[in-house]
This record gives sequence, C-alpha cells and structure tokens, in this order.
Amino acid sequence: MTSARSSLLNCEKRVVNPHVQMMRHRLWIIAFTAMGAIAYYVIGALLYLSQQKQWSDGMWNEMTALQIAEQYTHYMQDHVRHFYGFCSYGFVVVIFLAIIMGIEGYAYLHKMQTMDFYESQPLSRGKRFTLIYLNGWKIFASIWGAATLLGVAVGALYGGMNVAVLTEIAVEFVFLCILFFGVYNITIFASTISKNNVVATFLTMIFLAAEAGYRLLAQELMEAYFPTYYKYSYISNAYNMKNWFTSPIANYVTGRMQAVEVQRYNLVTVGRVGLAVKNMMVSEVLALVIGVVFLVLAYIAFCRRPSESVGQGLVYRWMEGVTKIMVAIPLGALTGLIMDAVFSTFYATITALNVFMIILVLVLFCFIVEVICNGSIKAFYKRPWQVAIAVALSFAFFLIYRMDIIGFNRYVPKESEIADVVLIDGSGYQTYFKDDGPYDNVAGYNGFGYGVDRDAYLEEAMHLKDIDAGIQIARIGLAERVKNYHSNASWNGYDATIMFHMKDGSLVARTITIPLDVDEELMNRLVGTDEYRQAVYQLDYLEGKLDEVGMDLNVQYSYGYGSFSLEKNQATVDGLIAAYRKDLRTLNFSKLKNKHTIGEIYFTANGPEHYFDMTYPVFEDFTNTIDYLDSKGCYHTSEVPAELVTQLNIYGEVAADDGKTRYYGDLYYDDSELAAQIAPYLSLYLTHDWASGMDAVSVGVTITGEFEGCEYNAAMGNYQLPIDKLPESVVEDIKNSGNSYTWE
Amino acid sequence: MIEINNVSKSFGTHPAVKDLSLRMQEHEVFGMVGTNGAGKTTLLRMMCGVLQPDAGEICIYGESVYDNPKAKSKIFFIPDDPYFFPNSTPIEMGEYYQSVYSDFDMTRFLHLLNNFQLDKKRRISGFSKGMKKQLAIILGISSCCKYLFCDETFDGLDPVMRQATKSLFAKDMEERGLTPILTSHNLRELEDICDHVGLLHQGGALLSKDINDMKLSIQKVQVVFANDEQQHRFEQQCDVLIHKMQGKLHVYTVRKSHAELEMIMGGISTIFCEMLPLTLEEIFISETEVVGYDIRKIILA
Repeated sequence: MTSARSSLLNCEKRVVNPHVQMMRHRLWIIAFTAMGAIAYYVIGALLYLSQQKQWSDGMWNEMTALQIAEQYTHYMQDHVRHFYGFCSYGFVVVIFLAIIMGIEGYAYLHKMQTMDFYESQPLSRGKRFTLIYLNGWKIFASIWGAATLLGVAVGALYGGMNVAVLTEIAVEFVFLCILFFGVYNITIFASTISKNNVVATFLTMIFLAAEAGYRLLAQELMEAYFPTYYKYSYISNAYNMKNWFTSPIANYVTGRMQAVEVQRYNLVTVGRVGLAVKNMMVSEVLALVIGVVFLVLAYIAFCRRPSESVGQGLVYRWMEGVTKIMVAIPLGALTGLIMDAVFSTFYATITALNVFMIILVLVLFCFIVEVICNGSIKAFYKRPWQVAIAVALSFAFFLIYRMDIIGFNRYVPKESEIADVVLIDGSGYQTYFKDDGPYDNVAGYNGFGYGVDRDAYLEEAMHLKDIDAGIQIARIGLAERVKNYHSNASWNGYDATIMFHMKDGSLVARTITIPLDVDEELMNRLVGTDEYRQAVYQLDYLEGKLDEVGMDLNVQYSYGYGSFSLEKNQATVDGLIAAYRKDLRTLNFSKLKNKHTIGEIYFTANGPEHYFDMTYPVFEDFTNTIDYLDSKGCYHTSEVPAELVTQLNIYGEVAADDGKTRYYGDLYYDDSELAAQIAPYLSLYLTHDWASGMDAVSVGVTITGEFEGCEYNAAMGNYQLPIDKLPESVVEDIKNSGNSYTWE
Repeated sequence: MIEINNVSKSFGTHPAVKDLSLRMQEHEVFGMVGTNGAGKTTLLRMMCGVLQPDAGEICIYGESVYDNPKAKSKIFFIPDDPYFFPNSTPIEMGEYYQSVYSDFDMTRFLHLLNNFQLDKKRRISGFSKGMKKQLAIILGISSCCKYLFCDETFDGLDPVMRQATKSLFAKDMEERGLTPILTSHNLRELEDICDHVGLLHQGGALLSKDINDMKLSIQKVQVVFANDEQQHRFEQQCDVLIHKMQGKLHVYTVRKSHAELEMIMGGISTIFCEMLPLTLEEIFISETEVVGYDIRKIILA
C-alpha cells in the first residue's frame, strides 16, 4: 500500500524531459543503432582482429622474440587502423542509420492522425523540428561514440593501439559524424517535402545519388561517343571527379580513396594520418557545407509545410514534375547508351529501335511515377505533357553526346586564349619520377613501376610555345581520330594526347590520332624543341641523384643482344649525361619516325627513399654518347653477326595481291644463309611509337658464340626487318602458313 | 473568446471552408453540426492550429492560433481518431501530456482513469474504440485547458459514458470555466449539452445561434379553432413558420415569445389549445427553412 501510494506520488510529480519522452517512443531506433554499432565495432572487430592474429602466427619465424613482438604490434596497429580508421566500412551502417533516423523522426508528418496530435500541442514548429532533430543526433552520437570507445578497447586488447591509430579513429569518428550530418539532413529534407515515407525514402536515394548518377553517366557518354575524349590519366576528368556538391556520401568515399592512397604503404604514423586528413579535408568541408544547406532547406520546408500534405507524392505538385523529369533525363540517355552497347552501334546512325526503346522506357517511367504520386494505378495517364517534356529533354541530353552537338570532337581553343601546348605520344616509352610534393599521392602504378603518372608529369613539365603548330596538329589529329572511329577501315595513325594550358589556368585535353603521313616539319615545330626534349627526357632528375646516401646505382648500355655496365660513380654518370644532352639537341619527330635506335642506356637505382629506372634511346648519329661509351669500353655495334646466328624467329604479316587479305605467320629458321641475307637490314626493335608506320616484320634472333657484353656465350635479341627486305621464300612461307584475315 | 474571421480553406481545387465567420463565447458549450464534408473537422483543425487557413484568421484572446504555442496552450484537441504512442499505456500518455501542458493535473488524471475503470498500465493498443475515446477525453480534461475541441467525440461512447462525459464537462465548466467545442453530424446528440449551435453546410455557416434565444422566440402550439374566422385571426397575428393540420387539429410553429403567444390565444375562441415543447431539431427546421434551406435534407436525412 505504501509503495503503491509512493509510486503514485512520484508519478504525479514527475515531469519527464522532452528528449527522454521522445526516446521512449523511439526505442527500436535506439536498439537498431546500438545493434549496428555493436555489430561492426565489437563483433565485427573481434572476428576480424582474431583472424588477423591467427594469420600472424608463424609469420616471422626467422626473427627473435623481440623482433616478433615489434612486428606483431606494427601488424596489429595496421589492422586496427584498417578496421576502425579511414578504411572502415562503418560508414555503410552510418548511412543506413541516418536514413532510418531521418525518415522515422519526421514520419509523423505523413499521417493526419499524428499531425492532429502533434500540431495541436503548444509547441512551435521550429522548436519541434529542433527537438526531433537533436534527438536523432543524441541517439546516434551517444551510441556511436560509446561503440567507438569499445572499439578502442578491443583494438588495445589485441595490442594494436598507439597514438597514430587512436588519432585516426578519433578523426574518423568526426568524419562519420559529418557523413551522418549530411545524409540525415538530406533525408529530413526529403521527408519534409514528401507526403509519405516510401516517397521520402525514394527521394532521399535520388538526392544522394543524383549528382553522381548524372556525372558518371555524362562520363560514360563522353567515353562512348567522344573518341577524342581524354580519360587515361590521373589528370583526366574521370580521375578528378573528387568534389561533389550534393552528395555527402560521394564526398566521403572520395576522401577515403585519397586516404587509402596515402596509406598504401601501411605506415601507421601521426604524420601519415595528418597527410591523409589534409587530402580529405576538401571533401569533408564540402560534405559539411552540403549538410548545412540541406539542414536550412529542411527547416524552411518543415516550417512552411502545409499540415494537410499527407497521402501520395510530394508536398508541392511542381516538385513531382521536376523530380520526374530530372530522373527521366539520364534514364533515357542511359537506355540509349545500353542499346548502343548491346548492338555496338556507338558510331553508326541512331537506330529506330534505339529511339523506340528510349521513348518506351521514358513513358513507362512517367506512368509509374504518376501511379506512385497519385496512389492509383488508374492515374498513370495524368500529366501527359510531362512525358513529352521528359522525352524531349532526355533526347536532347542524349544527342548532345550521341551526335556531338556541342562540337566536342572538333573543339580547339582560340590561339589568343592558349598559354602553351603539351604533346604526349602514345608509346608509354618513358617512365617518370618526382620527389617533391605529395609524391605518394601523385604516384601510381603505371605498368613499369611506381613512378609518377606519365601524363600528369608531362602536363606539368611540358610547355611548348609554338601554339600555331599545336592548333594545326590538334585539328588534324581530331579529324583523323573521328574519321578512324567512323570508318570500318584499318586503324591508321599515331595515337597521342594534345593538351592546351589555357591562360585562365584551365586545361583542355584531347586524345588525337596523328596521320601517318603528317607533315614532319609541322611535327618538328613541337617535337624538335628544347621544351619538348627537356620534358620527355627527364635528364635533370638524374643529375646529383646518384650521390644520394645509400643509393645503389646501375648504369647499363644495351645494344640488342648484349650489354655493358658503367662504373658506379657520379663523375661517369655526369659525363654520360653531358654527352647525351648534346646529342639530344638533334632529336626531332623526323628522327624518331625514320631512324632506328642502335642501343639504350638504362639508369636503375634503389635508395632508402626512392626507386627509379629510366631508359634513354641511342641513335647512330648520337656521336657524343657513342664516343663517351666507347671511351669507357662500353660500346658495341648493334649489327647482328650473321655467322653467330643459330635461330631466327620471324613473326609478321604480308599482304596478298588483292590488297584486302593479309597473311600472318610465326616461323622459325636455322638457316645461316637466310641469316646472312637479312642481317644487314635488321634494326633493334626499340623504335619509338612514331616509327610504327614502317611496314616491317619482327625478327627474334638467337646468337651463340663469344662476343662482348655477354657472359653466357648465347643471347637473344629482338629486331625488325623492313618488309621489302624480307626474302621471297619467307613471304611464301608466311602465305602458306594458313593464317590469314581479310580487311574490308 | 474565439474569433473566426472570414476563414477559407481549400484542398487542391476543392473548397472545404468558404469565407466563414463565427464567434465562440467562453463558459458555454458550442456545438457545430453539419453533414459529412460540411467542413466541421477542417474548421476544428484550423481552430486548433493544425491547419493554416488560406485566408482569414482564427484568434483566441486576440492571438492567431497557427504556430502559436501561447494560443495553443489554451486548447486541447480530441480528434475523431485520437493518436496514442505505439505500445504506450495511459500513464505514459499522461506523462507525455504532463510534459506538454504545464497545467496538466496528473492527480485528476489518475483519479478519472480509476473512475472510468481504465487500467493505467494496460497497453492502449488493446483498448476498444470507446475506451480510447474515454482516455482521450480524460487526457483533455486533465490538461486543464480553457478550450476543449472534440471532433465527433460522442461517436462510439455508450449512453452511460456519454452521460458521464457530459457531466464531466458540466463540472469543469462550472469549476474552471471550461469551454467545450463539439462537432457532430447528429443534431440530436448535441441537443442536451450545447448552449450555442453553429450549423455548417458546404463550408459555410448557415446559422449560429444561442439555443435558449431560439427556444424563446419560437413556440409550438396545437389548437382546434371554434370556427374558420378564429383561425384566420390567429394566423394574422402570428408569424407562422410551420403549419400542419390533422382534421380540425392544427399544429403551428410560430415566431413569438411564450407570453405573446398566450396573450394572442387569450383573444381567440378555441375548442382546444395546448402549448407544446420544441426539440432542437424542430427549431433548426424552422430557422433554416426561413433562410431557404431544408434542414431535413442537410442533417436529418
């Protein structure tokens, strides 16, 4: 009795805090958040770290106990960082929770019964918005914060915690809060302008994905329909799609990708965390700004929302139309792209089937949206004028790319607006290295090793001043590339990239195809300049580099079937560079196209900070270089000694008399007469991309005997032989090999 | 006092309330009657600040209601289908309203729950429709608000509970000046509780009058005249609203006060004469017929 009375008295006096009141009715949201956080931060972490611990057993058998302990600590730190830090997948849970919390918190707006309940109470709309908003934040931040602390404890339990890891986890918590902030606010905005929860969820998805969808589709359309579109480098638009203006998720993911690049060496230091944060900062700031903008929009929409706006569709009718059309535009274009991909008709005239499919998809989409907005299947035909607008705008969007209405493939900037020109050949012959700046961020695997991105380096290093020549080459190259893409004939020309540094600081880049019969003098105006040679042949980088402490240097001269190593000292290298620099002054397009290299110089070095390998071609008129090498006892002619040839492997194509059929063969000979016949005409297969216009076959030569630059008395070399020097018997052998194709 | 000045509200192209003006005095029960779709609930929602009028203004003590916590603190809205938190109990709802309304009387709330035999710890989701309405009324009464807006509140209540609710209203009106504002599509339901009735039809107010005033100014009498001349004299002196005849028995509804009618009847030679009581329904029929409407088609059909 006493307890019952006291209970009653307590109940009478107790006025519960509004947030506590609200949380009482959001228990399942709290439970959901807690489950998500614990599932990732505790259960997931225990599983992952246990697995890593298990895998580490026996990993360092050769080491002492002390070394093993040190290695294990470093190993676990890296994995704890990986699980809780910038590589964490916790963001997926955060996005999900932000959407759920935003939808649930403001779901009362979508039901008249709850609107009657809440809106008749003495609380202003602004205060109610704030109350619900902050309540969501309190639930998320408290539970996620607690889970993060638990995660730190789990990480420490596995011995993977240090200041750097702790810092990274703390920063990641802040970044996840920013992500939550953005997604939560977008969801609330979608909720406040929707008339039911399903539509609000769809709208949230559209807001989150719209910009990425548009930009990625535009990217795909450009790649598909613009043969001159430049996409092969870290400086291309695709790679630089880093800043997103409506999607906090895209910004978060972009930031993570940059952080992962910085951290790829698994270096767990505060400095690395700082560098990663610096790289991610723009993305995070953008995500924050997006969040603020959507918060303001959500607040205004909430306060102005008519209470009777419950049911189907969006609060304002015009919004439905705009949303429908905005989604329809890329949908139609995507349909067109898929149709072209399925039937491989990218460069053919648009087909009636393609047009029909685009219209069909758009009409069906508009019907479905009307059914959703009106809550009735019978309403599918409403607002047909919007279908017409959607079809018209979608076709316009698609045809801009499909038919190049904006003239992308023809565009060359005005001479007065260009500062200088960059011309990059398509050979990928050289690799480049760079020490200053955010090395790791710029570097990437380019097929040869970890050097800087080739195009990125050349874009930065090359500044050709003959703008008129650049414009002429661009025009010729653009036209040739488009012609090649729209033709069924065999591909002709040199693929290259031309870039224009504009005076306003922007960059115009196009992939071009330079015709094989291009005017050499025109090309020489760009290629035969010091600006070109200095950028392409990165000699400056080598100077002094080899004196670096701990640098293990190798300089080799290769002449095809043998090679020599130069002395490992800076003076020798400097002498070689000086000689080569003199010869380089004679290099131009004509030489690269028409002359064969007789050897190559390799610089390879391993140092405590850097590794690099660089290659330099030697032509027969590079007399300074040849003399210098000769003086060091490191020169040998590249001519093939026919008497030592024991096997020839001839691979190539010959044309039939009809001009359409081509025969190809891969033939082996051990005929010394044949070797003697073709040896004088063999040249090293080290020619530049621009020399590919030569009609030649490749010849693999096996040489056995004693000769300089070879330790094993046997070697193989790759050469090429002009087709007109190919003996008739070999031509017949190729024709009789049974391999052929016909080019229409 | 609640003032409704030229209020209009449309949903899309459909007008729900059209240029409506009303005054609701304190300390009296205001009843709003009308057919489904007459605009009763829309008007009530606007009066509670749930909906914003497209035009016009609704003021409580001179202050606009919409998005105004100060004005809303004086009102409590019991909708036709009241909302309760999922899985909540009466005591939890009481605690919630206690945090919303500063004058919420928890002691009285518990007392009333007990009186209405509602288990304070039972889940509301298990309550019948009538029990939910009772709980909503108890919460509204316990909030101690000046105005209690009830939308079709007596719908679903059994006669005993209906009477108990009316008694509760009467008690609070007397003790703290509660002003209940009720809506119903059934005129007979409001007859014994309302002091003032407003009749809504197609979004407008056909009339709004004090029931006593209406009752005082309209009388019903059945009479057998001595001859036709007496009947003619009677009809000349009275403003006859309705006249029915069965054989020689005439039943008149006339616009006169009780005293005036007695005086007239004193001068008329009759074989039989009796004054009859008027129902609210009859008063409404009389009043609306005057302004050209057939009330039977509006709310009694």
